[in-house]
Amino acid sequence: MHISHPARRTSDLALFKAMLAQLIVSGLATGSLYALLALGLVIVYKTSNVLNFAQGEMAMVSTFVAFTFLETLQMPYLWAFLLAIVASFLFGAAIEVALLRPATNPTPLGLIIVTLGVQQVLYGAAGWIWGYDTKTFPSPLSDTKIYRLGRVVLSEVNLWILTASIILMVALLLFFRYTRVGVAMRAISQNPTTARLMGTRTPWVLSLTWAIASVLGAVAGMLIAPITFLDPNMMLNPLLKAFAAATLGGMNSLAGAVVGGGSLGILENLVGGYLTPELKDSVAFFVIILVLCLRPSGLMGRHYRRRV
Amino acid sequence: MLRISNIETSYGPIRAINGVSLEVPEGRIVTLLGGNGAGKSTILKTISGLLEDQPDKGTIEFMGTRLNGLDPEQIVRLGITHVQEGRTIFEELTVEENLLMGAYVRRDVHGVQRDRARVLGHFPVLGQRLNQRAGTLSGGEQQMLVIGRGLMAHPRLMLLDEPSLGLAPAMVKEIFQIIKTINEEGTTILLVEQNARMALQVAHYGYLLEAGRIVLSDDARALSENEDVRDAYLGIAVEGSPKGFKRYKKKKRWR
Repeated sequence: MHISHPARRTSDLALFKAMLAQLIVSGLATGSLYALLALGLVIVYKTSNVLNFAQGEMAMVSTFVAFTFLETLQMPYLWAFLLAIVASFLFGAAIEVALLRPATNPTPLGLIIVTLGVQQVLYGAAGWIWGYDTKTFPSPLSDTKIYRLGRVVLSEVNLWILTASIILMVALLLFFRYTRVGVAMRAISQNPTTARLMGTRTPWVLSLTWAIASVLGAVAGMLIAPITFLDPNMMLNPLLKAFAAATLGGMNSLAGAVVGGGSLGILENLVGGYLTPELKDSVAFFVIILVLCLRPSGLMGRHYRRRV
Repeated sequence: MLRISNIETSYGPIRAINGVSLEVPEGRIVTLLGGNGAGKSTILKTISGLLEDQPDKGTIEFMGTRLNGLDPEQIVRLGITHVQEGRTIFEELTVEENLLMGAYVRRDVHGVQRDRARVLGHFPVLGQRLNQRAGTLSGGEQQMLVIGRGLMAHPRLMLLDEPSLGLAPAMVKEIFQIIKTINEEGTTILLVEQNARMALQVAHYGYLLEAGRIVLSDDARALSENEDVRDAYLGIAVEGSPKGFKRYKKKKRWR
């Protein structure tokens, strides 16, 4: 058969489009994991004004807990998943109560150092308990089973990453918009003194934000573990990406964290696909530097005045 | 209803309140007058528990319960709402959400709905802005929102700090009219004001505070006829600064 020139051009274009779509969709899946971690960072930052460097290690520990449920106790996956979420909720709250709350007259810097300490302790403890060797995280989701959406291909793992992230984000949105405690959390982040006068029990609400952040991390960790494998270092890279995503989004905006995570994931994948895979991991840092130079409050951040 | 006996409050080493006693009977509007830095707001903050470990000395009693040492979140549950100075709204929340925050401690859904309707009756303009972010309201509207939010707790005692601060004269009149109505509907009010003229018009009783001490107290009418008060507080607005020096001398005499 004779193939005419224009036809070949259109097929090139179609190929280009398909590849672009593919890179975007799989980038979005990775990005939604960054977004989950970034959301955890943002809600803690908004309510307690602390950059939580332990967010990644908290997620790592929760993932190891899920691993213990699955491997040592041989629980079915769904049960292990749900129990790990409950455990991470309590774990997050416990860290706030035990380590951050006792700080008297805390400065933001002092609290950041505390979170760094928590991060180191968790890292060491995880290595001590579970060992530093890399483990395979058993998961019912297959990395090789593939779904087709038009021309785009999506592995089962990625499909679930996207689904779970979206469900969690919507749940979080509804929580902050429509529940009494959710609205109170937003109020506290804007004006803690006035919120106390309304009767909010500020310390408990703070613990709750840590608990929620911990759950977000746990879900991200359990979703990412089948891909990256399991070891105490697993969250190092994702957490740095999450910081970049949160900075890009504006650090104090929930929507910003989602948009920042998504766009960072896509950007990474495009750089990896079209430029060179070597630069893929550096993208996050270019993003941080660029954002801080050009638009310090991020894409969607709003720095409103804090009243004393 | 509220009885304060001989309280002393300090910010660190600096003593702001020096043995103040005052009483707010149920159903009344009592006003606390005084210049800048006299300690009016400090007294309100001491009552509502915002100043940790304060008062140093003395007791605060509300309907038989001692408030000393309670947290603000406990005190608000006893029925005391502190409406702070300035427009301390939650800017990023909508007007509706701000109002709901005011009713945070309440569980009676129907009562909250009734009070919401009552607040929107007092401040119809808020009703038109329910889904707007509170930060976009004008200054006067924000002040209305702060008072409305305070009412949402259905307080027995409302501590009102400078509700007229920075408002246009017409708005000041409106706000004070509403304060009077709120009181007639059954809320007891302790009102802190720099605008002595307006405050004495709505209040039943008044205390005059100077440098952390009560120097004068009387019925609101008697106070507004008192020569010293007229000169020092009611006069300023009309006669301006030339009287300033004389006012200073008079203040000295009270101590």
